[in-house]
Amino acid sequence: VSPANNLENCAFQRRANSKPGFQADRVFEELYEQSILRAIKEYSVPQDELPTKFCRAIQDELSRLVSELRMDDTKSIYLRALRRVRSNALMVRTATSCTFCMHEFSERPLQCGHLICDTCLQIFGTSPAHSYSAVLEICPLCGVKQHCYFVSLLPPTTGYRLLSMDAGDTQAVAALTFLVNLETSLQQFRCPLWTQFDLVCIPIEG
Amino acid sequence: LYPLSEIIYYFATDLGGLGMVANIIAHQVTKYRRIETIKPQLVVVVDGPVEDPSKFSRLLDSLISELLSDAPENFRTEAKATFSLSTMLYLGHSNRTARAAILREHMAASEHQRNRHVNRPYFNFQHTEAFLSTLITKFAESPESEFSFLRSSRPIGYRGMEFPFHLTQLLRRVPAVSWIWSFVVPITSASIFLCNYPPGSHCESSK
Repeated sequence: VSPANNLENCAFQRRANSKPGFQADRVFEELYEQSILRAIKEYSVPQDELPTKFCRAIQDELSRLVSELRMDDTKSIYLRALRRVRSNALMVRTATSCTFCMHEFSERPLQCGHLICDTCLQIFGTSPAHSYSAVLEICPLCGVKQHCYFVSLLPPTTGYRLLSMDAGDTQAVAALTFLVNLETSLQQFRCPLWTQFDLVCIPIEG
Repeated sequence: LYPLSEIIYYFATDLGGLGMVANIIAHQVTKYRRIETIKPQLVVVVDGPVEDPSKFSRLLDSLISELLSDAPENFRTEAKATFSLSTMLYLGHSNRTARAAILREHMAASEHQRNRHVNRPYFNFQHTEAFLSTLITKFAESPESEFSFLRSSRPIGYRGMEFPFHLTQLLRRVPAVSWIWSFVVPITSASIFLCNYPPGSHCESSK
């Protein structure tokens, strides 16, 4: 293993945030530098200094954030950093990426249009009823209030949940009426029917 | 789905244990309108080996009675008569060897939890085990090539492999080049900062 101080940067070895051996620059160079250069090259011409400047700017900002760990926790520092870009945040919405961690794909849009993944939802949301749900009151990025943004996360014993109904021909009317009534009954629990199933199969003619 | 379903399952592990199940049942029998003709059967699914299943039923029954103790006697009797708590299912093994193995596992886990709380090593034993297996495989198969501790010690999804794609998506969405400095740089560095801390450690203050 060379150099030996690589071990200092292993994520699993790190303890409290104040662990002195952690080098943000080393982590950045190893994991992110090349990725960032590849992504920004699409926006620059050869000989342009934009990729290098862009990379250095992110690295400097990251070092600044890491230095704040001596005084505060990760989540607070992160939220403070987001507040600085809040005025422009509503104009930028990603199509498939989680806007917050930028490491995961997400299909959960907030009411402001920003996407959030389950991991970030657990970090920024609160769990009112039990640990497998989350409520988000405001978008951490743009600050837009989220009305009743309640998400059920799947508990470990949950398998795939399938709702299957036989509803061919005129039975379709009965099946759909049943679903409408069921949905209405569930409203008081803030528990929409669609959140309870991964797949719904209803054969309906026409 | 009551009263559409006459059998209601409560998964004790998912709900936070028998205490929480008792809470929910007590809440349901006191809050919601009951239909006299339907008496739902409540099935509580508990995890792990059990010598005497009726102990759990009795414990749950006592917990519910305790939770309803403030209510008038007639209401309590009436409420408890509206459901039947007769069946318990058990997941897992029930033989002596399996019980001993699970007990050892629980003891190791609680000791590990305590150490984790005291020392705050953020990654668990399984992660370290998986990491070391990767390391041994790598050195056994190709000892000469380079091995990145940083990359390999991170969970899948947080190794930065998809990061170029996500960053490109973000760059495509900004309306002007100037936004690269005012928006993309701060948000990208903040996301890298966030992702380099494992779940659950975000609220740990250095103080």
